Amino acid sequence: MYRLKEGYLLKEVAGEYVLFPTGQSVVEGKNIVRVNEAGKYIVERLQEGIEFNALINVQAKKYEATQEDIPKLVADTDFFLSKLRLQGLLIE
Amino acid sequence: MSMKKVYRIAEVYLEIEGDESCFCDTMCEFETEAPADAEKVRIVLAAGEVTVPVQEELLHTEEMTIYGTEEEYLMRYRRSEVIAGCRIQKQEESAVIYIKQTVGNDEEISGAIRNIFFYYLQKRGKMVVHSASILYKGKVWLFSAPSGTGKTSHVAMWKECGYPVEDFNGDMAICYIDEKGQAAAAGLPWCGTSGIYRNMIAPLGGVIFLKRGNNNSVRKPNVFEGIMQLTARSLTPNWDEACVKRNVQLAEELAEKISVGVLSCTYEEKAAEVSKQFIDGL
Repeated sequence: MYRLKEGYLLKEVAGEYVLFPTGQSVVEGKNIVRVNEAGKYIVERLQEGIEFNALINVQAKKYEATQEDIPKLVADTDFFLSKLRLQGLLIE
Repeated sequence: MSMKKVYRIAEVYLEIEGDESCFCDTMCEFETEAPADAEKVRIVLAAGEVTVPVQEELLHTEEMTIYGTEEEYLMRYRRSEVIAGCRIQKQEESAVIYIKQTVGNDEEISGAIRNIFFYYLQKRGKMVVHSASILYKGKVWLFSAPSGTGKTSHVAMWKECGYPVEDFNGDMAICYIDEKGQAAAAGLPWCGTSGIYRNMIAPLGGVIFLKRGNNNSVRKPNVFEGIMQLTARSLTPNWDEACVKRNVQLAEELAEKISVGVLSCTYEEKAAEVSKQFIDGL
């Protein structure tokens, strides 16, 4: 199960999506994180908590992905999660 | 002896009640009398210890731990010999500062009052921006940057160049959209260690964000960058999601109404010349 670390606010600012640190994350000097539309969708799922396979499935449905699209979707999702992990935003 | 004083800061009445030894001299300039029906932020300075029931810990620093519930925030001071903690109501504009001892400790108490007042300012749609500010041609201009970047030095350069400026505040300014929909800046009795503050409200011209560089140049950031810079330099609380959301909203509203610049600057007088040209050209 993947989950977004608590203490972050997802907000649209001037057409961009931003994860703002709040509370203890601010004290720890965490930076804001900018995400694109696809990233925003993943972050919203992570706020609820989701398994990796389920995350792929909901995206495949949303983007009407074909079977050929799935490997790229998996790779892109994995890359995005690795970026969140690097920032300390991902709970696994 | 217990007493009650009322201050007016950025159009907000602040009533403080407590022992006379707790009151801070620098706030005198803001003292006033409030109309009977005025809505006030009320802070009581009371003797006693703060008790922590089961509440969510929002953050902790070396100095304090902040807890939150639906109804209130609770600050527990970890090191202070003066203050035990604070209880801050979310709905009513009412707070208590629990004092351990009072004599000659007005600076720490002033800091606690500031923390609480900034929370209620934020709830009233006002943001405090970390900056050295000047009054120039009838408007307030903020030079904002992280500590140590040279905000004070930059303001000093304006004076050394002989530009017609007056000090507004050496460390922070309250920024907001007033009842007429205009951006305004208000002085406040807190100013870091600068000693520079004044009781005044004036139109807010804009904010120049300073960055140290090898040459002097200024540019207009895009809307997104302007909002993010303002949010980053805000001194109003970011204790939880509600606070951060309000800060970002205030930054969005302000960014629509004011001029914003990013100044790459040196410690030479040329830097003041470049920022003045930018402001004059707006």
